[in-house]
Amino acid sequence: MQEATFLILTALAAGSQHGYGIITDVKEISGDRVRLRAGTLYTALDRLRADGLIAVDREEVVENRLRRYYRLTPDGSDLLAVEAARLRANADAALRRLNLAGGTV
Amino acid sequence: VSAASLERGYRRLLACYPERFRAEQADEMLAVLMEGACRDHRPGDRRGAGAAGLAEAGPDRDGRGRRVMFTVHSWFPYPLQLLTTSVYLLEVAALTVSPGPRHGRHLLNWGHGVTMLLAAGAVQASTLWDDSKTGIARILVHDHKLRSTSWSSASRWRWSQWRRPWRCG
Repeated sequence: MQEATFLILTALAAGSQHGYGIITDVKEISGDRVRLRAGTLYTALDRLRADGLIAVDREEVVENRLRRYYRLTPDGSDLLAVEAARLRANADAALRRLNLAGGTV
Repeated sequence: VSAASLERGYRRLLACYPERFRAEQADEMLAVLMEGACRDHRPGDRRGAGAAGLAEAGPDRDGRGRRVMFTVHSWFPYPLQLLTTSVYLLEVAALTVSPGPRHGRHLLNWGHGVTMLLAAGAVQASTLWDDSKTGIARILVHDHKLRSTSWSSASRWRWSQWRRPWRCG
């Protein structure tokens, strides 16, 4: 799973969000390291929707502009949990080996 | 840059997305782009600090390829970058394998190269500024069959001209 996809799913894990909310949330989660472009975000959202990992939660019109909220589907939650566990296992392995090798971590 | 002109710019750029994607997402993307531009605006900025540039709003189906290949023309929409880059690569390849003046003829010549570059530039410019639904540039960008057919026909014609027996005088 690409990092942008992981971060988008993570942003939606806490509840439904609209496009701009996802962009700002991803920026915050990644410690200002990942700034999603609108093109990247919507291409990813389109793909995630097609894969059944996210769904449209509701739509609002704010200041004459469409605001669509997305939410994780059960499949999306499962995939995110699996991916998070995989990343944690990898990180744990790396930290264990660093400790064994007398690393500073 | 006023909000209205920024919105017009974004709309022109969004026109480069495939029709299905545009119908589904364009309004929402525009809202996100404008929201980003408005929220991060600082007094005195020529543009909102967080406003996505036109290139940043563009299609990013393969971000890596885009960043590597299209840095120089990053303000052009993605499909046109792809198209013109193909033209440039074709031109460079053809000029490189050209038999050269010793043989008395060329597969391609500089005049042809300049014409192609001017044509590609005109297509880019007209797509950026053309709002009409039936604009020729839009057809060129979105009609892949027409584009590939015209390119392969032109290439075949040029190749057949070059391969024809050549007589001096």
